[in-house]
Amino acid sequence: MKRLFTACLAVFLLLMGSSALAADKSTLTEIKERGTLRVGLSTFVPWAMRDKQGELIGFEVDVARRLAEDAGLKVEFIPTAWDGIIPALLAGKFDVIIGGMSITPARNMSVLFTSPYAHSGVQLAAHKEKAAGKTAINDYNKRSVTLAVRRGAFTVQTAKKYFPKAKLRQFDDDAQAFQEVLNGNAHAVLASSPKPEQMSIQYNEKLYIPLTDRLSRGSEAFAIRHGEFDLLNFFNNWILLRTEDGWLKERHDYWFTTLDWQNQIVEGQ
Amino acid sequence: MSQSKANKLSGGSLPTFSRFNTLDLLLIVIVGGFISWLWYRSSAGIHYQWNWEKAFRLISSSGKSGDLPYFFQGFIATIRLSLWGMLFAGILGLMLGLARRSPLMVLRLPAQSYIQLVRNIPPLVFVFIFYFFVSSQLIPTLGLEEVLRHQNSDINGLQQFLLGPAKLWENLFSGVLCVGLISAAYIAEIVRSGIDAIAKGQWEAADSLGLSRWYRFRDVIFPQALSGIVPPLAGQFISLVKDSSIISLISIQELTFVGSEMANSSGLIFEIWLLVGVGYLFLCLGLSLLFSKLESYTLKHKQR
Repeated sequence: MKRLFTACLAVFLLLMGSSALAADKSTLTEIKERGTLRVGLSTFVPWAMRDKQGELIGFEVDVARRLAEDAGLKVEFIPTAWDGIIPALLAGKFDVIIGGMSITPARNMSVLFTSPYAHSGVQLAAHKEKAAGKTAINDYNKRSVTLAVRRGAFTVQTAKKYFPKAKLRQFDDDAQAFQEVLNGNAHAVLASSPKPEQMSIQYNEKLYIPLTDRLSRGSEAFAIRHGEFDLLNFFNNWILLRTEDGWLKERHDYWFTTLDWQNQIVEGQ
Repeated sequence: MSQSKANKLSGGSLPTFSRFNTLDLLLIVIVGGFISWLWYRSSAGIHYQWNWEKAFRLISSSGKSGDLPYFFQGFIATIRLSLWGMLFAGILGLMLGLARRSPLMVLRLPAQSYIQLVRNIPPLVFVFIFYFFVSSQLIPTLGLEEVLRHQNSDINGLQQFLLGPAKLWENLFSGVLCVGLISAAYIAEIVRSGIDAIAKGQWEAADSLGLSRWYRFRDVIFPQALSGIVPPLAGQFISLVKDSSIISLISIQELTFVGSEMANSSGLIFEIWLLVGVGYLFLCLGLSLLFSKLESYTLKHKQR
């Protein structure tokens, strides 16, 4: 019995040792050897979404495809639930998060961010009857006001900054947060532009945009694991180049200011 | 066949239950009233633009290269995941259940602690722990990642049918492992209680016939235990199918995950989620029917 135990322990240690050895290689080297860049993303209109045929489309998808093409790599998308996207990165399920993730100091404690490749604004869409006449920021900063937001996103921090007194209801997806307002259970919903604008057009009897300016400017960046400085340098320089030649802005405008892509998602919208 | 037998078992015919009386009528009116009130509330209180036509068109539009619609890919992934999960959970559960009854401490103690651990933490927490600590260490350590990842070319029809597209094998594997490990703990208890329910006399009778340990178990105890195991096992397998929706949180690409992606992309939230619900209902009802057949088969030895 004792010998069996010792044997088990030896095998276990051997396995641990071999996996520790394997971890020495940098991710950039691993990517080159593999020939595939693994990208984690989460469904988030219009950053990344499924079209009618079930294919991934969106701003992030364009960015990741171009990035891989420029580096001579193949790209593999790993759709991941938003709640678990950072732990999944840390657990090595993919090499980089390109998922509309805004830079925040708290997130930066657990991942490395590249320089920003996109800037999003947060906008508020309010219920026409429940929030009638509330057109200033201060009108929403009251204990009687309920706001709906997507959990864990940049919008939560914006909401806490501008409306510290309001009650916050957090949801897994933007869609659920909007439904809460449509049902009249919350006064307004905060989300990244252009979703509030789009929804207020689609539900124009129920929703309106009370504030003329966007609330705050978020900076979105790729997220990678701590210590991957060669990968960070590669991404930063790619972002610099594609910002300089205007490609990033052109793609960003296509997905965020036009609605040309709407027909790819659902017919007749 | 079982109508008359069932009556006999429960002692005579049951005339009062087969007649439709005033209480039934009252109940039907109450339930009907409640349903129509709900219907009214949901149309008045929920401001939602229903668009079933669009939803049906969305879930039935086929993929880029003419393959199955994305929604049905998810549905089939759930079936695949559930079937492999049941197989794995069944085998592991049986072994754990037997180990739990074993006179050897080395077998009994680990089995018992595993069962207690899994049964006493919520499945969702187990899923996260498993995914981030166990699966992400285990799969690379076993070298499975390499095997699974480099299989991307030439898979034959049978592999495609049983395991799905090669690039999702690793995904499927962690999903099966996860639902299987959860279910196995519950199945182990079902197996143990089934075996424990066999009267001591049966063991002694088998002993007195001079049967070896293996034959005593295989020919005398287990067939009898099976009739006690199958009904709760059916319930466990059905909840395995439903538990498989939890693992959408760790991005296993099954029906719920596909549903959430489609609902968020298209904005047809309620339609898609209702269709996902119908998908699970369909699967679980099918399973219940299958198991009620199996149950009557295992009860054969009691019907002489």
